[in-house]
Amino acid sequence: MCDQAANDRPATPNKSGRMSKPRSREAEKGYCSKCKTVRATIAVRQSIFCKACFLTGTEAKFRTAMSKLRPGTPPRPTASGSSKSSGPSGVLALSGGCCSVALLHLLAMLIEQDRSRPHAVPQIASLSVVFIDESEIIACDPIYNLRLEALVRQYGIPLRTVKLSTAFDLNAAGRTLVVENMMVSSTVPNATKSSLDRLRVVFDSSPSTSAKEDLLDSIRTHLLLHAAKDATCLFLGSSTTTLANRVIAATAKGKGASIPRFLAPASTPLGTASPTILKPLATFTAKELGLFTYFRALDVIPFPTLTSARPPGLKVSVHHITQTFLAKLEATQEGTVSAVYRTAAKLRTPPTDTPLCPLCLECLLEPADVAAGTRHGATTAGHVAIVCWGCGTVLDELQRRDRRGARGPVEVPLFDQIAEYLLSDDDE
Amino acid sequence: MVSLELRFSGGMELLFGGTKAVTVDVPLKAGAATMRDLLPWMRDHLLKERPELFMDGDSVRPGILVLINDADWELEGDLEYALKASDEIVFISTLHGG
Repeated sequence: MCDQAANDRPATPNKSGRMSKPRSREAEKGYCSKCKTVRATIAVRQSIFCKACFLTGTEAKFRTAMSKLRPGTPPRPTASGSSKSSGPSGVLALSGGCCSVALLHLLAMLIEQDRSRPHAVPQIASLSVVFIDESEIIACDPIYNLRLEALVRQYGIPLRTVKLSTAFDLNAAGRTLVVENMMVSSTVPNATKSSLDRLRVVFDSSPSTSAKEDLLDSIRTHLLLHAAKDATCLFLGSSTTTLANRVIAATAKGKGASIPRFLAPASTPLGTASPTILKPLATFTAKELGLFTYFRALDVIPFPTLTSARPPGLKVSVHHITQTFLAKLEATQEGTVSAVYRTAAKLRTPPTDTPLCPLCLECLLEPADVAAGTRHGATTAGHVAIVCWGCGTVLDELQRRDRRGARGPVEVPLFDQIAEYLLSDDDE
Repeated sequence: MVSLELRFSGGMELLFGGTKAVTVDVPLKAGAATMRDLLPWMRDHLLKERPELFMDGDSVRPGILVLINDADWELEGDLEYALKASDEIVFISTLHGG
């Protein structure tokens, strides 16, 4: 009730000119809005807390989020058709950033707490960590990998590192996807070029950072789902801030239809026989997680990204622009990020049998196009490419060699979900 | 001069030559100088690269959290906080998230 009253009050500028709404009635006195006995030192989500209440509140909020997600419900059928009986197993995608590091700590804490209660049904029976090593395309100090190993080791959880180039090895038949102008086909790759060579050609040849980021996202998703194929669930450390950024970026890239799918706290992009993707930190802002990792003295490892060293004012990619834009808005209009997330989370898609784009696993394919065998950037001249409009644009951009219009073919990993739609050289 | 403990976390240390913590004697008057005075001093004397990744106008770049003696600087007066001897100021980047 106090928070509702605070929400009704108009925003006013504080001493440095930032617009912010007054916090709860108790908060106006400067005391923690939870215990109300200690002076508040942390301001998050338009409330103020003392450090102790902030930390216990964060951990309690996580436990509540996990209990709502209920990993392992319903049980995932095994290849033999029977349900797993040993409890849900989880794989955590760790990037080294504050969100996934916080998630590692919170999941380890949850498992430890469940173990200390012998009669409790564990929410997660076992946990392992997967790290996608992007150093093959983004130069990185090797000490960062050592720090990541040390971080995971202190929890006694197994760590598996997956190289990005192994995406080219996912196709069971050993084929790759070649995109040339309007033609898409699968082919047996040139044996003289390694997977690493092919990976570097894709990411070095195109000037489009947005397209490279999108392809990297797709490759990461497929690698993570493959790494977690025997687990019940795959945990991602996506925060409210991360997801709000994606909402704006997806809308700008013509992938607005994917929003309900990637905002869902639980999703099964490859069907019920595959791991469920869970996002238990979806209601935590980057600020909450940044403060949590600092106060818990967790090692946040700043692995470089395709745009991490770029100036904030430079328009290097859609994601980069979006992140800068929303961060600035949040700094002056607190609550913007949460508002974007909560509003977009109201979007719903009706149940459908229409297949998902096999590249991004987020957008639905247009039924008419699936039936006609044509898609953006494809022809029916014996080769059919079934990807969504956004991914078609990505493949088109990856063919560009410079900003003046020169183009060339591009060879990308062929995921099994795409292979089933393609005719191969051998089929002609 | 005012002696301050500065800490960098969440990737902020990259801008300061990998330094995670440093004690500095800042040529500012304790009690009179504010965070508004400290930030440009840090940019000019401590920052090793990319000032645009640290400051935006008079303040820190959006996405960087600031704690003063373990308290959110928003509750301590933000840029107008008056520095005192032995203050611990922490800069945390949330922009390396994920």
